[in-house]
Amino acid sequence: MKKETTIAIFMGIAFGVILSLIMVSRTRSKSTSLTNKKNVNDASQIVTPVPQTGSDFSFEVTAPSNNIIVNKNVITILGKISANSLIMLQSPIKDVILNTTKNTFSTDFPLALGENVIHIVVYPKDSQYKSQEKELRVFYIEE
Amino acid sequence: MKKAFVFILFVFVMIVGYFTNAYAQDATSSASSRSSVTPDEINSQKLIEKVANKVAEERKKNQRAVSGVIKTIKDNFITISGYEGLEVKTFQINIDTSFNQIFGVSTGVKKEIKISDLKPNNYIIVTGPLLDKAILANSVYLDDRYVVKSGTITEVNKTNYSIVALTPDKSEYTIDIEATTKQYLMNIKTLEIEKTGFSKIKEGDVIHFVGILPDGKEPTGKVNITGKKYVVIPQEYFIK
Repeated sequence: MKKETTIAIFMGIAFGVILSLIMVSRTRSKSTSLTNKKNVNDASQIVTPVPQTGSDFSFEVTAPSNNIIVNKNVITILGKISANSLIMLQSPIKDVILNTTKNTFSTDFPLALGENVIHIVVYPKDSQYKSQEKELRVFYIEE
Repeated sequence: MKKAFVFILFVFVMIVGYFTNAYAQDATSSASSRSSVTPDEINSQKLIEKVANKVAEERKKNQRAVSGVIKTIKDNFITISGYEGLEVKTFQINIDTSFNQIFGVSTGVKKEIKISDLKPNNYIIVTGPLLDKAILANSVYLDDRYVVKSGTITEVNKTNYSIVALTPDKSEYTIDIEATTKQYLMNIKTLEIEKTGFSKIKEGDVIHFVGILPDGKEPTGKVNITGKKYVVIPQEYFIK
């Protein structure tokens, strides 16, 4: 066999191997991105964004989602609001007033066994905006 | 001639490389699927365990919670009227009394009760897998039906100790104040919640209240509730 032929065969094999490696890595990255996409979809099922109603003043409960079932007697409530708002959270077993300077809020809230109706009202500092309210149902069920 | 040979070799190596990769993936997946279904590898006991675990997993995975008012009770089947989102829906509950326990939680203490203790118009919370509108109950709780709302005080009746509040959805709640009703007021300087008395509240204040809805009543329109507690935000807080 001539020297040129040997080099050509070697180069062909090397190119084939490189191409295979590229295709394998592409397949892996595609499956990873699909998994990530699925995780994002799962996350969007867990956290239900609550739409604003009729004003520029924003209020959104980002977690937990409505009608969630938990097996602990406390839950963290997270939300987005306009800064300097007064927030009132009330359930049959707890009342919490928050006065935050930030545009987010977070508070641990105790739960009673069974259904917990949590009523959240936000009063904006700027009196030209009306207050907004949300109702959250959280089920605390012992396993 | 030499160039043509090199080109053919190059194409051949590429095709071989591609199919080797594809075959390797297929071989892995088919090997794994074969290993999970080959009858030689599993005995009947393991299969039963697997099925049982899967069923338990599915029951847990599809578990939903539904609350509502009992409409009918017949044997182990209960019909309730509850909410799915904002829509009122009827749900069929199947209770397996040999498996399910029913608890009363309205007193704040968990107490086991019997299915015969449940009556029409009671408010129950049921968890379990939901299929269409049928639930195979995992757990059942009997509770009071709480109303948690806020609104503006339109009337303070000092004769019969009641407060009338108008909520943003235009419902009118008459809250009966009893000796056990907890009464609080927000201090507008410190924003702390402090105990208060009935005499300190006035029309125009904002009230956040929790009450118990009597059996068989709907929480819309003109509603009478038994006050469990309230927090008043004085109207002065909003005048700045």
